Amino acid sequence: MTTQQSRDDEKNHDAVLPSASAADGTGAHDATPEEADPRVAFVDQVERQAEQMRSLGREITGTGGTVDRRSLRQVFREQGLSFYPLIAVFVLALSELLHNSAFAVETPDIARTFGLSPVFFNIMEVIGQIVSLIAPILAARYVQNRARRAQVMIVAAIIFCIITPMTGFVAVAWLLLITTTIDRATTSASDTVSSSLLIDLYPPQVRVRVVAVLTAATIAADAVAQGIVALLTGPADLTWRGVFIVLGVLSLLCVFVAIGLRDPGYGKYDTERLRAAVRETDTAKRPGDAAPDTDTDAATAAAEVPDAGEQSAPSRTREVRLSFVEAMQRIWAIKTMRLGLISAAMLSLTAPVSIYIAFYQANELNLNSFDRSLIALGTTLAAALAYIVLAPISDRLFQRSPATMFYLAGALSIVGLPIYAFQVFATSVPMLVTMSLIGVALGSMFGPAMIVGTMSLVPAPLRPHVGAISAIFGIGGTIIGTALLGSVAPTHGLRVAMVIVVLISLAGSIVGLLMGRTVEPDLDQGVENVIVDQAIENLRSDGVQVPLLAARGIEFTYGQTQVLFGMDFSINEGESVALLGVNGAGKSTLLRVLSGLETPQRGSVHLDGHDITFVSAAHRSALGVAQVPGGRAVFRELTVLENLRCFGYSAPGGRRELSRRIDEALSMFPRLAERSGTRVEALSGGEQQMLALSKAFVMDTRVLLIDELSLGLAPVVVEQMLEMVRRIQTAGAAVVLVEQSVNVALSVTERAYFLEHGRVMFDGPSSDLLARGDLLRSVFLSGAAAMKS
Amino acid sequence: MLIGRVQRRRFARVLQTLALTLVAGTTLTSCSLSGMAFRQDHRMSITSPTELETVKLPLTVRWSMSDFTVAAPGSDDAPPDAGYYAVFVDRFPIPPNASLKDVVSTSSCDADPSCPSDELLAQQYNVYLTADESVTIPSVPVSQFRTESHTITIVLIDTSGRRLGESAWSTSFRVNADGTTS
Repeated sequence: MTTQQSRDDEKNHDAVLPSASAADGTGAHDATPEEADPRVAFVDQVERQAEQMRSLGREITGTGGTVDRRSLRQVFREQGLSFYPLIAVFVLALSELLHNSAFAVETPDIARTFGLSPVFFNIMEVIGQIVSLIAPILAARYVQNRARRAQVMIVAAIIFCIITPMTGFVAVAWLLLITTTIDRATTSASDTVSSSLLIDLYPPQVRVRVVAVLTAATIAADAVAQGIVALLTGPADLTWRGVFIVLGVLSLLCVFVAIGLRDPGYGKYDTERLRAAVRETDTAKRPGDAAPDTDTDAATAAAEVPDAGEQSAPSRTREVRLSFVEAMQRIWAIKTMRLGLISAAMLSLTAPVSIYIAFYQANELNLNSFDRSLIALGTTLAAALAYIVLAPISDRLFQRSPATMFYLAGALSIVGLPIYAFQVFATSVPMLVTMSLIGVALGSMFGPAMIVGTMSLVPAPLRPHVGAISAIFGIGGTIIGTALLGSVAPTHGLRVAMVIVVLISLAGSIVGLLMGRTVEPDLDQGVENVIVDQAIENLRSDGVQVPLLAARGIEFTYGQTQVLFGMDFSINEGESVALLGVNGAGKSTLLRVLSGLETPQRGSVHLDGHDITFVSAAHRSALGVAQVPGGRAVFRELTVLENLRCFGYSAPGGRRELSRRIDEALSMFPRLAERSGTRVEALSGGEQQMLALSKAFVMDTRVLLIDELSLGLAPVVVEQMLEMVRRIQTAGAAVVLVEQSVNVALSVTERAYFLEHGRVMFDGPSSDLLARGDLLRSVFLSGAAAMKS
Repeated sequence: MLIGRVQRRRFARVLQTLALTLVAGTTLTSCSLSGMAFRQDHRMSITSPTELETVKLPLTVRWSMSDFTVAAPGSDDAPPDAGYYAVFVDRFPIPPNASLKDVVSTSSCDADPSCPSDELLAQQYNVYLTADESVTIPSVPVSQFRTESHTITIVLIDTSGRRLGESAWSTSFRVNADGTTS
């Protein structure tokens, strides 16, 4: 802080001291009566609605503690649900299995036909793994914001219909590589969207059972598919070519059965119902409202609401849709999801274990391929049985207490995993079989509930992304597990390798168990986000003025240090607001959260009523939120004009529009126009700050967030900057000004927030803050301390 | 930057179409039904060793064959589907129509029409050639396991040393490291 600023602050200090006794200094908004500030009324209405609807929201989403004890058939009958979508999803999964089973069984024959070495199949596997990492991402990206999951699955099945018989006709080995690569790509894409589609096809009360039925049916179908392949190679006397051709025909039948499958849209039975409930609550509040269904009625009802707010202008912001990367970040921000993905990666280390167990069975227990197949079949059927038998129990458990379900799943995995992997210590076949059956049953019995649980944590349109990101983590774990077992087993023996893998995987089970701690708050947060979004939509349709930029309940942590504690903030269109407080109060952090440079651990940020919490800074700048960071936010090596072009990089409108805006900015600030060709490092500090502020014009900014406007500038220059801020505001932009200098901040803003230790201590008109000596004293003292040091 | 967003999209579409056409075209042109086997070939039956039998070395592999005219390598007057047998031990056979020269990884055989010799193939590549319905295998590649599992694959070779058709017959057997059969 400069000497002049400190002097100014001291003068201000003296001026506000007499009225300090009027303030009690407790909590936010204490100086602002709700009725006088529609903005506060808006936030409170949203808060109130979120509070009222939270438990109902959990009930609607099927995790509220109320258990639906009806049988699956009963629920289907009473709710008019059809089994067809379930059958269609199953049949599409079957078409994948046919090709995969044929390939698994026929690989040795294919190798003999083409004289292919294992190296070829290793290359094929590596390519397949790469494709399996990429295809889910592409599939999730394709269906993001577009409910086309059924379409993806059907197209994938049609591709199976083509490539399966085509595999039977390949004349050279590299064509085989192409068909298997396409197969892997389509399988991964289809798998990515299938779980989320199934979940959206049925209401929460039966989801775990539906997923369990599908999983069990798929396991059984896998066995059936292998049986079909056996029949075709045995009694039907076909070579691998003949088998693929026949399976192609069967795949075609699957497509015919499933062709009627339609995507119901994202969150039909949870998010959309919850939104409808919030809408109904809003409608019920209106006096004399009879029919809430039509837009006309809603508009009429809105006109009757005696709200303190002004009639809002139509939103300038279209629905903000997350980019793919933002969507992934959104999922990663959910703590339970993070734990789940880490757990999945660690548990996937055991994926190649079954191959080593097969070798152990063959080499140490002298089991032939038939015995080994029988054990594998028994194991998979045990898992299928566990799914079916436990499905109603896990469905109820999940509805009653998702946390308990996660704890139990983790605990059973801790027990089941070592039992399964330590088959390599079995000294007899009965012992091995027992361990295999128990291990698989324990480890997988809550699998369907885990799928439903993790899918319930994320916003409905991002559910396919969960499939994609889970596949990536799973494949990553499998690759590491394969490398680990492949390197340790030959040198230290299979048993040592297995112990290492199991120890790492047990850590994964423990991480999975920890999901139980965070799942309930995360479910609450998810429900609350939907309620808040809908409540804002309701208020907007009621004619309530929606703040241009609003932050709600923001919590932010740098490492272990929490900086913001449930902070609320809002600014209206064209308004100017100061953020004041001592160093470390959280002003700059809040600004970074608002501009998208940081993502909060809790809370949400809305632009024009649209959730932008997880929208990147670049995306936000395109939406009109720009930040001028403290300390000359310019590129020193570039000229003034080049800087202006850089500012406009992400601005909408194309080159011509950018040139027009740059001209506008230069006409507003002739000093910059004079020096447009000068390198920025040759400009004075004031000119550099002026250039930084000019981004408001270049980017067609709606909210300009300025951090430390006056830092290091002479008073006369500060005055020029303030004039510039006024012009920016006059041009229609809202301005948030972070300042340590009370003088500077209050001279240009209408309203102020005073922050202390990451909490809002004051929120009200700037003039009222001058009466709060108790708050302002700390700023002056810190300013004085800074001056002294 | 030179190409606008719309142009880039069009370009991507053209590329996609080209790639698809290329894949489809290549696939179709590569597909030829001649020589492809859709039904299993039961002309040969390996009689010894039986599947996963534990054996002692040297091992004599025996089989019976029907509907196949045996002809010595280099016979000019033999019909095109006549030939002899190649037994591949613990390795996959050469692709259909490929030459036995392809078994030898170096180009040392290029100048010598008699290369690879039967001895070279047997001693260095574990490939045994015979016109009889049996062959004796003196040794097998060493494995790290106590009980070694090995696979033999028999294919037909024409008189010019090329593989005949896609048919291949195989069996697996075990050899105990200590030489016992128990």
